[in-house]
This record gives sequence, C-alpha cells and structure tokens, in this order.
Amino acid sequence: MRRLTLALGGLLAAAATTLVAAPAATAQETGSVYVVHGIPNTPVDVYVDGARALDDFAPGKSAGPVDLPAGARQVAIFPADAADGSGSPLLSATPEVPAGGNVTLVAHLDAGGKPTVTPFVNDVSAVPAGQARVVVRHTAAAPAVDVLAGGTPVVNGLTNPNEEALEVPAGTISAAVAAAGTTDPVIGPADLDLQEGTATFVHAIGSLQDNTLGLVVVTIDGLHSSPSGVPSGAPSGAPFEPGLPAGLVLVAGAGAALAGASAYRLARR
Amino acid sequence: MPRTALTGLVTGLALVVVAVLLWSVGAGTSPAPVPAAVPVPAAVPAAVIAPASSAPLAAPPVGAPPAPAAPAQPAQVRIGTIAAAAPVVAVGVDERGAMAVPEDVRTVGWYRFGSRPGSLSGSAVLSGHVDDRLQGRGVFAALGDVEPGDLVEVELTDGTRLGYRVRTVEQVAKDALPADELFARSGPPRLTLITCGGDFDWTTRTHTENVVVTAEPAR
Repeated sequence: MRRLTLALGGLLAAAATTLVAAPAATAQETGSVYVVHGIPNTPVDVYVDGARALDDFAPGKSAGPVDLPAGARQVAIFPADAADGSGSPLLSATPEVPAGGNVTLVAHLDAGGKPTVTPFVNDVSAVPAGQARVVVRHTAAAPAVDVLAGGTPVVNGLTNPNEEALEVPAGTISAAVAAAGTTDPVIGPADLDLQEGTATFVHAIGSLQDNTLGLVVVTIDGLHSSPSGVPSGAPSGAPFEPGLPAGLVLVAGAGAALAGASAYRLARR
Repeated sequence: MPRTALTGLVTGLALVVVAVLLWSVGAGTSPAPVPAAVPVPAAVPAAVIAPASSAPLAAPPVGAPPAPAAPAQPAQVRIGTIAAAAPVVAVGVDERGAMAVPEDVRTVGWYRFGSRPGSLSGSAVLSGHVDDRLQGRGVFAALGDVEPGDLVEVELTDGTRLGYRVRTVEQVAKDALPADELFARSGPPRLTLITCGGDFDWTTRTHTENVVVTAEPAR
C-alpha cells in the first residue's frame, strides 16, 4: 500500500507541468525564475538540481515565476521522451540565481543555430508613472536586428544573445523585427499592449534560415509608481478672486474720480 | 485750463483701464506657462499580455480579453452637500509625471492607471482644479467643506451608480502628499478626491496644499 502511494505520487509529480522549487528554502534566500523555450521543434523536460521541474515543455512557451534557492542551480534539459534526468542532457547550465533577484533562463539557438541556454537578469525596478518598460532580447538564430515600433527603428543592431530596455508611455505599439539597417519585418508586426507599470520581456526566438522565427512574451506587473503630485490649482497660473482686489479697486476708483472731475471741468468751459 | 482737464480725463480713464487689465491677467505679470493637462479619451479596457504565449509571424494582437470583473469607467461625480456635480474624464500623467488634471475647472479627471470606482480593491482617484482666475470657481472649490458621512455619488458610463461615504477630509502640504497611499492599487476599495488648497504661491504659481477627501463604499 505504501509502495502504491509512493508510485502514485511519482506519477502525479511527473504529470505536473508547473516548475516546482527543488529543495525547500526560506524567502530571503530565493530568487524568482522564469523559463523561456526558444528552440523550435524540440519539446523538452527541464531538471533543476536533478529534479524534474518542467515536463513536456513546448517550444515557444514560457513558464514561471517560481522561487528557487539562491545560488548556482544545476539546470539540465533533456528531450521530452527521456525516461529521467540521467544520461547526457541536450543542454545544461549552472545559472546563478541571485537572492531576491529575478531571472529568466532562455533555452534558444545561438546566432549560428546551435542550442544554448542564456540566463537574463530581469529589471523589475519601479517604472515611472504612466510608463511601461519593454525589454527586447535577441535569442534567435539570426544576424543583428533592428526593432521597429510603428515602423520606426527604436533598437538598432541588437545581436544574439543580448537585450535592450526601453521605457515608453503606456499603450499599444506595433512592434516588428527587421534585419539591422532595414525596415522589412522578419517578425511581426505584432501589436504589443504595454500596460502602465509593467515590464514586458520580448524574446525573439527560432531560426531565420529555417523560417521558424517567433516571439515569446513574458510580462511582469506591479512595477507601477505613483504620480509625483496633483497640480489641481489654477490652470491659468492665477487663482480666482471674486470681484476686484482692493488695491486695484482703489486705483480704478481714483482714476474714475479724476476722469469724472476733468470731464465736468471740460464741459463747464 | 482745457489742457489740464483733458490730461486729467485721459489719465483717469487710463488708470481705470490699467486696473482692469491688471486684474484680468493676474498681478501684473503674464501667467507662467502651465502645461496643459490634456484629458485622455476614455480608453478601451486594456488587456493583459498573456505571459505564456508565443506570437507567430504577423500575429494578431498579443493579449487576453479584459477581466470580466472590471467595472465601467466613471462618467459623473456628485457631492450633494456642497452642490458639486461634474463630468469625469480619464486622465494619465503630465510631462512631469504628475497626475494630469483636466484644464476645464468644471471637469473632473479620473486617474486611469489606478483603480476604478467600483473595483474590488485600491484607491480610485478623482481630481479637479479648485478654481481659476479666467474660468472662475472649480467644481471642487468647496471640497474642503465636506464632512465625514457626506454622500459622494459616482455614475459609471454604463449607468451604474455607486455611493461612497466620506471618511476623512484633510489638507496636506503638497511636498508631503502621501501619493503612494492615495494612489495605492491594493487595499480596501475607496474613493479619493483631490483638489488644491492653502495659500497661492505667486512664484511657482501653484497652491501650497492639496485638499484630500477619502470615502469608502456606502453600505
């Protein structure tokens, strides 16, 4: 009976598709981790420190966030049909998970088309009021690219495996990726809804040569800031004063008296 | 003596004209250019980008339908005890990162990046100008006179009416405005009404304080 329970537990664990923290750890000693799968046509199982964390993880998908113990984690990626985490993996890496930090592990093709894993540290600092952060990551088998927003280049000459961050007014932008120096899209255009106070991480994945380019988008919210104030005073730069101010009333009154007296004298002559 | 009398007439009239001009432009100097707070047209409820999706070539917009629970946007605000009633428009931030308050002193702005009136959590912020030399008294000119327990009504664009009861009325120095608390998007649902108050600083051409009224859903 005990054996059966254990076996069932094992089956359930294997069926779980969510990334689970390997060893237990306290809150102070963990970091948040996302995983992005950018290698076309290759479903995988992901093992963290020897335990299966993601099962049948499909290309073009992301997972997370999960809290992992801070420090160097052993990540091994096997083909999805592998029996377990033994033998030689497809890919392996030992990314550093910073305590209290936020990282994304991207399994992707390098510029030459060879599978690799790149850890990116996610900038989750506060975004100014009214703004959104966009981070563009080149993780595709393709040469240098420009990123276009509304047809205009906003990132120039980005190469694999690098990223560039922008802070823009919140709203929807039409984003596209083109070979560096050109404006003819190789990815997109796709509308990105950049919500205020969020960070949107856009990963270009796949291979230009194999015609498998695509985007994987991960959004982290709750990074908003408050407005710096509420300037609800007089929009013209001066407050309302009912009637004439006393000083001006005096001047106007004196003027009227002088004008009246002078007019009287003129009329009498 | 006709020349003296004529001079007196002209001088007298000139004084009247100058006095009126001075009044109309405000203390004799031209008003400092104040950035216009442009009301933002009511936006379509924004969708959240699905965090675990991939967009193939020339994909349709990446996004999910808006959360069904989100109430409609506010359209009107009324405070019977101070005879204030005004249309509400959605606003964002100005170029200095402050809340954009509608230029028209008889229109109230709702901070569209924060909570909505009627949402389950957080502070929905409405702000209107206190007054203006050229436009006269603003809709929130008497905001400081409301009292705890007063009813504030908000009508949404779909006709839903929400009632709030005033909890606190405070006057705060602008440099001490607890913006993180007033604009919090979490915590119990509440309505925050803000206008200006205190002295008018003719150097910066702003009021020195904010009047802040907080209200909670009426039961």
